Amino acid sequence: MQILIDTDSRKRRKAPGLFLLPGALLAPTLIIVFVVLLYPAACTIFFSLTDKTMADTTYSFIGLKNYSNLFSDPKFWMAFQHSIIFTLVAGSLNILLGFGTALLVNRAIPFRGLFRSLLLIPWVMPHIVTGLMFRWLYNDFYGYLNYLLIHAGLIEKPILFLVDRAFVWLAVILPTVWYEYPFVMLMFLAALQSISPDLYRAAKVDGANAFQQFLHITLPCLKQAFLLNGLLQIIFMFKSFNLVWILTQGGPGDRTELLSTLAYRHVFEGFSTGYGSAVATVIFLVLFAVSIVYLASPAIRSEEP
Amino acid sequence: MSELRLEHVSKRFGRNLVLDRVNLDIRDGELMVILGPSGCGKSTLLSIVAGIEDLDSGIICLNGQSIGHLPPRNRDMAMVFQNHALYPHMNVYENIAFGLRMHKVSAEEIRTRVNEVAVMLEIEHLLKRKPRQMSGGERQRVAMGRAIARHPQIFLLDEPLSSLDAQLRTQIRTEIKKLHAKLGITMVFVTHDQFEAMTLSDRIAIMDRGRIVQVGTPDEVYHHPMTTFVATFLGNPSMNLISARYDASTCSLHLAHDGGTVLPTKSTPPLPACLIGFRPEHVRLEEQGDLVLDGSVDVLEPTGSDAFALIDCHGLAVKARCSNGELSVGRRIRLAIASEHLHVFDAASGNRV
Ligand SMILES: Nc1ncnc2c1ncn2[C@@H]1O[C@H](COP(=O)(O)OP(=O)(O)OP(=O)(O)O)[C@@H](O)[C@H]1O
Ligand SMILES: [Mg+2]
Repeated sequence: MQILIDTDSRKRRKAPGLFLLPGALLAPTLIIVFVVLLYPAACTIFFSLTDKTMADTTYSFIGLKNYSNLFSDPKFWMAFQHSIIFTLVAGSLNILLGFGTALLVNRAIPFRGLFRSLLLIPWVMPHIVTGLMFRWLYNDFYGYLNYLLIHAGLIEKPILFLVDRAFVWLAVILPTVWYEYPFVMLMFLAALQSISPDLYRAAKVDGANAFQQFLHITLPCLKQAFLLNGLLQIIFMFKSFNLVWILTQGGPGDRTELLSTLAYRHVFEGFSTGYGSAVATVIFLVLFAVSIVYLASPAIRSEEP
Repeated sequence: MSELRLEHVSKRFGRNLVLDRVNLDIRDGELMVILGPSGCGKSTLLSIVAGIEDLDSGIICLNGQSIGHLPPRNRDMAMVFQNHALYPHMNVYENIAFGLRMHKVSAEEIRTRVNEVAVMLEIEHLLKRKPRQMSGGERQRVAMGRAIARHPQIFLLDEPLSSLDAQLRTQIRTEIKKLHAKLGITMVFVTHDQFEAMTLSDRIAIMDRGRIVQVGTPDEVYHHPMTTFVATFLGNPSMNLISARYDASTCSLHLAHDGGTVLPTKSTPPLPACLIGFRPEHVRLEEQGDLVLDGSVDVLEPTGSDAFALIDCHGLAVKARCSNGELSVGRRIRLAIASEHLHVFDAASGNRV
């Protein structure tokens, strides 16, 4: 009886602690999320409804004026179009290349672990390093790429990859894929490894050849991985900024202007914080809508592989 | 007609010799159980027969034709896997139909065959379900259906019951036995459960560390074990083994623990060091017998109708089966074992003498 009462009271005393401990452990994360994510995001949305500029500390609330200006601005629509094309092209390439390499390094090849690690290097590198590296690669005078092309006899004069309107998209997408596909590879590799080897054994006994095993086991089992990688690539590529800014700053002219570079230009170069914030908010809203549609779709909600 | 013969089949994984010159004849229409402790190479043997693993050396023949080099597709065998291995993204119908589709069976034929096995295994109501929407027993039944629908020459089952609870196990075991009688198909059934092996099999092949140590009917392997491994692996509790020395001049065995007890024998062990084996159920509480031991009851384990007693015979622990309530702990008793229940093994090799 004594013991019963004792445990009872201890339980009661412990109750508030049950909420306190997780709260205390979560607090730093929550504070950081709030300070670096939620607060600036809220500010951006708020500023997009004002006429704030960088130069001025006073500003007034102007409702959706920035947005109506934006939607009648051909530059905005062009950047929007660029962002969509960039997302589709770079995202698809990332997924194709990432999936392909994942299939390769998932096989029992010699030095598999070494290959896996080496392939991850581009993804580990900071964007600034990748960007500068590719600028050197593209350089008309010192660049390795022009050197190779000229020596192979394919071209006579160096190509100005970052200036030539015909090549600049290629020059931007190449390094983007170069640093992003290893991440996709990693995701697919994890998914491939989670497929039970017994399924392949069963398929073999059922008479499936290598291609049929790929078609009827591997691909269906990776459905979730494809959906998830698709969503992540849409998000990552649509808000992609660093490399484009380091390489072209949206140029030449506005040839590679994306929504992200347009927003940056307005906030930090045109000093029109309100207008730039509206562009950033559009990026956010587009991705938010895509994510909701994606995550709510029955295909990704079902738990089956 | 579907006879399977393995000759000198060996398999290594790296340095590890998993199958060591395995010889096995499986007759047409037979239910052969491969029984052995975990890790002895049973699954590997089955995979090699199915063609999922390559063999390093040896011959596999189906009806006299060597099939060791054929891909699984051309071997005409179906397999039920240890963890059922149903395709998670296909429903039951598609799971059963998959092997038939791969073998280019016509759509109409597929439909009739799937329905046929669905009726046979009583899984008609499950045909639209995905594997994760079914219980373990239902999945196991579907896995069997997938194999049966193929109408294979040989049916391979790798511990199909190990993931089920005791009740379901008994039920599906009976179903397998019925199915075997009905289809008359050659089956190879792998298990580490001796009870399963005894109840199901026409013949049992007992494996130990990559070798087949004895093949025979359940009665043969139980009552006439060829090695101490078989003797102790079968039976629960396992056979008593006591050391003895063979005296060639008197043709008798002297028990090692007291040296006094003498047992005349007709067998002639190659070396003096022997082991005498007898099963707990053959120990009688009698004054007279061929082998007589005195001791006192150490431990009693009632199991319902009977009890197992651990009896201390001057330092020698002997397991005996008695009826419940017959003995009490500490009681001094005399044990007798008839000579027809005694097995003599060579102590060094473990082989029956
Ligand atoms: N792919 C493999 N690579 C290396 N070793 C393996 C491989 N597969 C099995 N082995 C080894 O071969 C031995 C036999 O394995 P196997 O799966 O045939 O045992 P088993 O008799 O089926 O055991 P269980 O009753 O636990 O299923 C084990 O020691 C195991 O470690
Ligand atoms: Mg096994």
